Amino acid sequence: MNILSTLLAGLIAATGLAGAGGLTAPPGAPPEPAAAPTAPPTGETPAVPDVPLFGEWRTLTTADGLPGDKILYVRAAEDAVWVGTEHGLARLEGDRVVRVVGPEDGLGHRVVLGIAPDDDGGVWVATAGGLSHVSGERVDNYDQFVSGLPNDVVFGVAYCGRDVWAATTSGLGRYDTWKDSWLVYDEKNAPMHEIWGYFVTCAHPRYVYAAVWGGGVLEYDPERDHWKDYTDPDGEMEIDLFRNDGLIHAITTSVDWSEGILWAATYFGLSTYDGRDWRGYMDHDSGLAGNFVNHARAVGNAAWLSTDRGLSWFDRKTWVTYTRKDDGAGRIRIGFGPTATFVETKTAIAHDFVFAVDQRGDDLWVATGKGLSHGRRIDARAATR
Amino acid sequence: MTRTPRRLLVLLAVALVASAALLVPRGEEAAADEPRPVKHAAPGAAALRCEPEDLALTADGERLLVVCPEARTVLVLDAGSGARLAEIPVGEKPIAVALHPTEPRAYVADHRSERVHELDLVTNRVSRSFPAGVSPRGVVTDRAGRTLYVANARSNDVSVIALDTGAQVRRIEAGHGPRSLARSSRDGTVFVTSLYTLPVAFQQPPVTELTVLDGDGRRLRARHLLEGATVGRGVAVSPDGRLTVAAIVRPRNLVPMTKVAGGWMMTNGLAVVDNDTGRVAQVLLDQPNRFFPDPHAVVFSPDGARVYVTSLAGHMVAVVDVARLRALLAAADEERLRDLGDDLGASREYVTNRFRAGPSPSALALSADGARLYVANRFEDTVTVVDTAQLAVAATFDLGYDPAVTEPQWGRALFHDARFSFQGGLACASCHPEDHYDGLTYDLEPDGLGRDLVDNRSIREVRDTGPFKWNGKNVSLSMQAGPRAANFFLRTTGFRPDELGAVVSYLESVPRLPNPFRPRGAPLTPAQERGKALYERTVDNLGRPILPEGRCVHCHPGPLGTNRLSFDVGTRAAHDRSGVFDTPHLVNIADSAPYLHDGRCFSLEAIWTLFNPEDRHGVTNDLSKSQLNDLIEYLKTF
Repeated sequence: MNILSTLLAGLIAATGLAGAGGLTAPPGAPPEPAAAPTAPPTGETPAVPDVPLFGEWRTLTTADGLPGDKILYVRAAEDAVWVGTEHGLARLEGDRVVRVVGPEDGLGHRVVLGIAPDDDGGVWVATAGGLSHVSGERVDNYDQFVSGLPNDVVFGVAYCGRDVWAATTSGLGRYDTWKDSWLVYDEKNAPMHEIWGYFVTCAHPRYVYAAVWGGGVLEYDPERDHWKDYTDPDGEMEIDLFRNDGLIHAITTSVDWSEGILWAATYFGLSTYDGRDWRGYMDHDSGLAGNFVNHARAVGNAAWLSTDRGLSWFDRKTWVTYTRKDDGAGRIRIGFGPTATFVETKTAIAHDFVFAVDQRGDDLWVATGKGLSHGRRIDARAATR
Repeated sequence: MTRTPRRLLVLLAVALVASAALLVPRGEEAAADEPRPVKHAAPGAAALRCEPEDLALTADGERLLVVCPEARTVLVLDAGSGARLAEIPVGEKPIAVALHPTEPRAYVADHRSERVHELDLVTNRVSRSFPAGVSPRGVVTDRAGRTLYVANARSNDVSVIALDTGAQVRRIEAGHGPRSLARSSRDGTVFVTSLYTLPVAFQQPPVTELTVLDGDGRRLRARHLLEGATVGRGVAVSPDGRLTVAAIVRPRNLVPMTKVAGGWMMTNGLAVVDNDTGRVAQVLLDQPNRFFPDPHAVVFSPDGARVYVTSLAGHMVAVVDVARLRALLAAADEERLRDLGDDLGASREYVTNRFRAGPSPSALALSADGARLYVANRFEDTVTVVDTAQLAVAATFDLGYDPAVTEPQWGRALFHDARFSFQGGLACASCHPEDHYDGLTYDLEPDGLGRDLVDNRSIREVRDTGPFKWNGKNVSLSMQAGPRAANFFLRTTGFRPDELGAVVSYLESVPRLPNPFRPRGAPLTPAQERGKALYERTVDNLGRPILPEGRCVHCHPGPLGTNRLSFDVGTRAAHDRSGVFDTPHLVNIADSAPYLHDGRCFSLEAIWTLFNPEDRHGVTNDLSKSQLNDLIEYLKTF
């Protein structure tokens, strides 16, 4: 943390502005813990807001045929669920592992960091050793030696029909599948303050969005071949000086878009952008489970936020957070602060360190450090304490 | 020996020979070994030929469409008399045709473009043209006639075209060099063959893909990887939809070419897919000591009892008994199934006949009752009508083009003729199909067994690129295609001098195909401009001078991309006796993977990222990834 931010933070603390909306605690002080959850009096049935809740968790591990227990990514395709682990890729039908793909099959590397289904039942796979395409029996790998991929360490991939985008540690690669041609975007031809690509998506009907570690969010318009960057207005400071002034932090891990809202996950909180206004959220003043947000997955008008302290859901009105208790049961916190309500469930997600999540209808898959948890939509009033 | 026993011995010998002749099964004739009469055009005269490449018979059996690539037309013939009803000019190089399932329309793939054309068979004119991928090679519609599938040979995908709008709604990745398509009437599944191997590790057997599409759903269904196979061509689905067969070649390129003499260089057959179980087998159509070179067109009889397959270089048609083939495959365990692809004797179990056709039978069509088999003879410009009950010629249709051939046209026919090779095992075109190449690495004997492995190269626009051979020792095409080919490839006396002259004329006439990365007249893209600058640069990224021999343009100048000299660029491998190689030309370089003299690189990038550690193959190690990408983009414009 630099001297300027230290001095400024001290000045703010001295003026008593610390703790006001938008400002963090003084440097050096431990972050203010999230408001302790309060349980309703025993015997009373909590009033549960009308938000979708998930439970009936079943966790899959290597015992179920997964190649690894540390699940780094998950994507639900039309007829299957693809799971990325530290030891290869798996395809699930229902809760059954039907196929495992590893380097011995042609996968670029055993560490699978991202997955993007194509239109034909296959997937593009971001690995630590290249960009792989698993399609039917074929597994093709594009690495930096035999293709135009900028770097073998691929953190994210997006399938956009004709183009496939790869977020790599040396910039973004754009592969034109019709022409078998590559373009590389880095600091020389894009506003990339850092070139470490972490995530890329073409969920927006027109733009491609990329999350860049230390470089914020990039927006690319293919029609105009034009880039626009969204960075943290607070610059290099590790505090969020003014909430809602822009992207909450430049170390962005993931972006997604749905129904007009851009969701940007960072290691220091969450931001949303509606095309005009940015909103920032942190764990001490919102229902966000943790500021270390690994992944954002937009579904309809809401998003799932995968953090190191649990899984949150937010529709820009109501927060729902899923955590695991020490006894293995689950706790759902709806809202935050003194008005939060809780639902206890017999089952829980496998671990609070959540890497990614995907939803298809009433099914939810959660990639955690201790397995893949599959949950179903539940009726909160039927859940037991 | 006294005179009487000697006479007896002579009589006995004569009797034995006569008996042997009687034992040859009726109707089973080997490919013609005798040259057919050829009428030559006057020197310098042009000769408009058809060289038919595809046929389609209308559902009512009344009209036969014949695709004539050389004449750039599609003929419409009276299927009964052969009379020409119409001659429709179509595009740049029509090469394949498919009929609409219900309406009087047909679709033609135009190989020298990125388009397919719709023919109105009432007016006999081109009614619409649709954009497709690069070099369309095959076409088929779905069952309902709403979707057209186009195999794009040079973009390695299948275009999905909505026939109501003519729009290309998507492309589906296929194998390497998608070629032909066939549709199942049972469930609409579409099968796509591919000509070339997918990328494989160095010195591993080829693998070609048979792509399976959900024809009604416009999606991929499966990919069958045919190990050991290449040059997937004609494909057909049985009427009950249970079986799919595709013509393939199983090359033995990993063993030295001495094996031509042993009858083990190119083997030829069918891939057979059981569509109910997904089980895939490969079976041969060859026989020991007599081959079935370059299997090409395939068609099922309407009752599903037979499959007819043409041998393009063997000038014959094989008749496969489907029931016997199915029985053989059903009885085979996995080990036997694998062995069938290498069993030259197995064909006697399921091939009931091989009858002679015209020169290079390239296409088949069958009447709805299965009684009449139409065989297009590419280098005779005729269509033979075969009575399938008798397996006898019922009629021959003359397509009405010039009966005389120019020297290059004759040369092309010779290039596709296996009679010049030992046991009819292969033709020149067996390794250079589609006027191109097969993408394989070979071990040629004269360099020593296991030494100097060489990448097979395209024959497109080789006219002014001599010397030939990777070591540059063949100064001319005559030397390349003459005694050397006879001794080490064909294992026979080879071509006569006039035949050799014709083959050379043909080779000199093979053009490059239009380049999709730089259409004629189009300016370079920004990436290509940057790449050109790198190609010609004289200093590196740090401003240090690059000596002339370190500049790409020094060895690869001009439109052909070669200075026709030999250099050592540091690519010598352990199996090479020398590291000095003739500079290859770069024409259509994007189409001719793998690269380097021994085919080690399956991508252009790898030439410099993996095999140029000392900057001896151009100064490139200072390039950034973006710069290398730009250089590749420029290279692809050749």
